[in-house]
Amino acid sequence: MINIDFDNIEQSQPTLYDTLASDVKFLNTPHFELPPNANPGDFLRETFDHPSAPKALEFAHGTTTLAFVYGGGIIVSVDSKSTQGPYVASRSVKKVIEITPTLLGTMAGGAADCSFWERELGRRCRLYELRNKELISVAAASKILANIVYSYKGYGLSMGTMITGWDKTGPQLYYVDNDGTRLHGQRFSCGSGSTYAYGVLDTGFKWDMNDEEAYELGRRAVYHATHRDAYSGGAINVYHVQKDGWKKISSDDCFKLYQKYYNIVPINKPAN
Amino acid sequence: MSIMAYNGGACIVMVGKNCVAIASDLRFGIQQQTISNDFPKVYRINDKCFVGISGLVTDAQTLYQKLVFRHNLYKLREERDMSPRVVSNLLTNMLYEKRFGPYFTEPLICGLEGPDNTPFISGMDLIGASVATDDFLVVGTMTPAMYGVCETLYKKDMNEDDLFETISQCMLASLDRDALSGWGAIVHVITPTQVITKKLLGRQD
Amino acid sequence: METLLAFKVKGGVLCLADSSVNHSIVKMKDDEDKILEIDGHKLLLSAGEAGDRVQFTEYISKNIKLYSLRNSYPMSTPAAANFIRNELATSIRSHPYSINLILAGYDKEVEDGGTSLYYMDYLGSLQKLNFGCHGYASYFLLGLLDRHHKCDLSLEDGINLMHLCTTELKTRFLVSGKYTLKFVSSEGIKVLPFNAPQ
Repeated sequence: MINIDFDNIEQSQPTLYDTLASDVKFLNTPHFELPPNANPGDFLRETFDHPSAPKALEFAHGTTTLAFVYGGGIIVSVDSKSTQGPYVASRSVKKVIEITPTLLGTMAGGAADCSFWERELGRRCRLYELRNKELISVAAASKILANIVYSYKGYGLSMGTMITGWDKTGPQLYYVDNDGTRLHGQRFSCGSGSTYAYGVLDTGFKWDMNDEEAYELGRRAVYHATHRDAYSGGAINVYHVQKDGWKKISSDDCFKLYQKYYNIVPINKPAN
Repeated sequence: MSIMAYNGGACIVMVGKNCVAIASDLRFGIQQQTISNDFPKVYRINDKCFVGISGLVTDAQTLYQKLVFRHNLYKLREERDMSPRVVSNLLTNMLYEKRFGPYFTEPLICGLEGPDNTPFISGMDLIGASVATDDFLVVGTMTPAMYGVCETLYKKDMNEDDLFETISQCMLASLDRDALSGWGAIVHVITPTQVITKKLLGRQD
Repeated sequence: METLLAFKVKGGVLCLADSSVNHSIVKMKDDEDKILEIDGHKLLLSAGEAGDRVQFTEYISKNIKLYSLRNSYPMSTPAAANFIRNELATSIRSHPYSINLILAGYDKEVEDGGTSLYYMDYLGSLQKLNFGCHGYASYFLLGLLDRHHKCDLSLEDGINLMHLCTTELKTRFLVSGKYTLKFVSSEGIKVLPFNAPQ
């Protein structure tokens, strides 16, 4: 004869509280399933190195992003091209991530990594604001991100980002990448086209330029980078960070800028 | 990275009614770095025959120079220009000669053949396996995108204006999906009486 | 880590090369001249593996000299560029020379004011340009030159642009050192004093 323990059947059914609790538990810190392996980073690398392994879809590997501090605030300027190998997947990617109404982040490296973790950063910044009744400082926000990516060091995250904003201490700019590097500075550029952008940015920079000059410098620097770097391009988005938060200034297609900068009229003339 | 994609580049040939067209992009790069945006990959062999050579630039330049040399010898001996079919066969043999140390190039040949100016196009792989078709051929770093637009836009028996428009649109549209080619394009339309050459304004990113 | 840079200015071509010779982590020399004067109106800038660089450029310059003795007129810059390209392209399949080159020259007969500038990589790809740059420095300087370079720059403005370039390398590039600057124009070759920012 079979004994059925009816009490236990009732108990094994999760209550509404249990379900909610298990969902909410992961809200505190994001939870990822990990491979049953001592070193998940090596495991992932070996798995994807296998010849018959599916290709990981890594978008936005080539990028030009820059941000600089000047007398009138901070300028953030980025391209919008996304490539997978030589294939141009998109020319209209948003590489500036609006973390909170006062914080901006830029995106270089893996698109998924950047967009996920900067969204997560936004959530934590909002929680900080609710708990402490004041806006988070840029230093603290960038430190949260740096701590997160550092805790995943060796797991293969790929991101190079600038976190900017205006807090009690004034305009602030931080560079954070997947190694766990976090740098405070006045001028940063990130991505495959960054060196070209530095060349234009460094030679054209003046602390007391007016806002229009600053927008144009940011735009120009990224424009010349898109020209030389095959994996940067599309449109150039410029943001301005001031005391009362950030503002999107412009979004110009590189082809339009090319025609403007070099006075090119679209008429076909016979070669030679 | 593939050696064929080291410098980047794209090339299309198309057949129309009593005319053929050939187009290439203008980029010369070293992997992701663009060195020049004035590097056409189409070479004139004679008024009735053009070749487009994509692939590794050093080999494309060597192959072109050797081809011009052979063409000049042919002209001295025969007192006439090489026809596109002969150029195609010559290239096939020149490439197979280097079977065990190939030139990393894929040439396209186009032109008008014989006294009645029959359109001719052909292309080959890096060791000279040639293929001749009666519509279009593409080579370069983003052939999937190029095939897509060409299959969609190509129509049989286009006149020279329509052919120019079609090959230009195919070139520009497919270059927009290729990071390693672009920076403008050049198009030649070969007709029995003239060669029409136009540079296309293209994206510079 | 070597730097070669050349651009056209009004009437001539300005050529800059770094002057360091390094062996692994050791600086062997900091006053090497990497801008070879092939003849009175041609400069050959070379960067690459130590042995290859000297062997190849000497071989090239002696053959160009031989050509001028045989024909009693000098080889034109375009002809020299194609000759060098051919040597590189044929040797790549048997004995590769790991050197990148820039050839600058002046010939009366050449259009666009007589100046020409050719860019060549170690594979033998040849391209005529208005400005060219080899080495890691190109990642910093090409954008800068796209922004600031014009072919009708005066010599003085050209030298200022060279200073702008080396200042940028000083601020952004990991390695920096001394440079050699030369100018080729209708009046021949001039070695210009150049003090890079320290």
